Amino acid sequence: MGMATYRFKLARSHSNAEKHFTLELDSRMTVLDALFIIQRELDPSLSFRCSCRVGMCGTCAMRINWMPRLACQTRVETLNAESITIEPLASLPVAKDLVVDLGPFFDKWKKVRPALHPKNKDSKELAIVPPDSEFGKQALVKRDCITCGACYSVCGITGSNEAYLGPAAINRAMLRLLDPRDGNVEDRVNALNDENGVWRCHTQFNCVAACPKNINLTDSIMKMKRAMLFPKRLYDK
Amino acid sequence: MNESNSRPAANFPDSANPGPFALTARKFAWRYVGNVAFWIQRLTGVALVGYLILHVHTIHDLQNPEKFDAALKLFGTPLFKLAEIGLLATVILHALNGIRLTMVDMGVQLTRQRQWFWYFAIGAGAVLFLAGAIPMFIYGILQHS
Repeated sequence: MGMATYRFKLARSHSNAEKHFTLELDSRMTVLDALFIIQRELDPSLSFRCSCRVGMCGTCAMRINWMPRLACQTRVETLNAESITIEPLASLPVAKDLVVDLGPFFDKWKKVRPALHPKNKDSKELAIVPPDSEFGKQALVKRDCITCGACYSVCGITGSNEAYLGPAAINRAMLRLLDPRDGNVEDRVNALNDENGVWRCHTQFNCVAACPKNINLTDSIMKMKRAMLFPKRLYDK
Repeated sequence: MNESNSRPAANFPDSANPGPFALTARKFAWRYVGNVAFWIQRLTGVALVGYLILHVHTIHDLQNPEKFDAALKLFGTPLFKLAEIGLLATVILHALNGIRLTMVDMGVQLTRQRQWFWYFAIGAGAVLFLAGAIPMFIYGILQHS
């Protein structure tokens, strides 16, 4: 612990805007703290996005030293570097400075019908999901997605093919397809079994490396690839 | 740099700044090993396609015994023997990483894919390569020259 001096290089939308800042920070401070100091004390025109500050909303995802991370969860000392480069997420259109438009990410998210479409809308009974069922086991470790877009931005396939669904949407589709309460199998199978669905994944594992919630997204994609070989089985749940 | 945008002035020795290349290399060191494996698989695959084209072309020359003999003589030279050792490395990397990828597709040991790349594709691959490359080097290059 203690104070240390860090050099920040920020991506800015306007070419005239200042990109370099030098700050003395406590090693426990986060990159988000540094961005607030820059905005409040040095350059009020700096734009970035944040909300919860505790790593549960995914709003402050950005590329910090070339890796997508949550600014609120990245302490400066853990970067092991005195020079810190901050850029907006890749593969997404930049709105301003460090703010990206997550539109393309959520367009794919919508394609898999992420909401629960209950089999029986009028049922008043509570669903029982045994923890040792396939859905119980998968949901336990894969329902924590905060839709930060880190996996989408780091994926080599979304970088070269804008139509690819991306890891987060496929993970959500998998959870819905395994969910015994859900009845909308067809739309999701059609989205996943499409040429821009699961078959585009080349198992680069970048999404797994980047996910701030440590979700094994490639595992979800591989599960869905195998499921797409026998899609009729998904209807019998 | 505009000093008005600085809080306390900093004085860094050059060695303290790892630079973009070193930082990018760190990114791939362990966490992004799947990406490294992906590119190795693609590059070795393209190299093997190039080899196969050359191989089929040589077999095609079987129709002309003189040309075929000349080609075999050329392939016996130390330079081509060295390229053969390179081919062995390419085949081993592509095959072992291919086994790892097949396991990933089948969901076997998927959570340990990093270990399978380093210990199986690279580690066991290096042992296999040395077992093949050392005799190839001794009998194909040293004794030839």
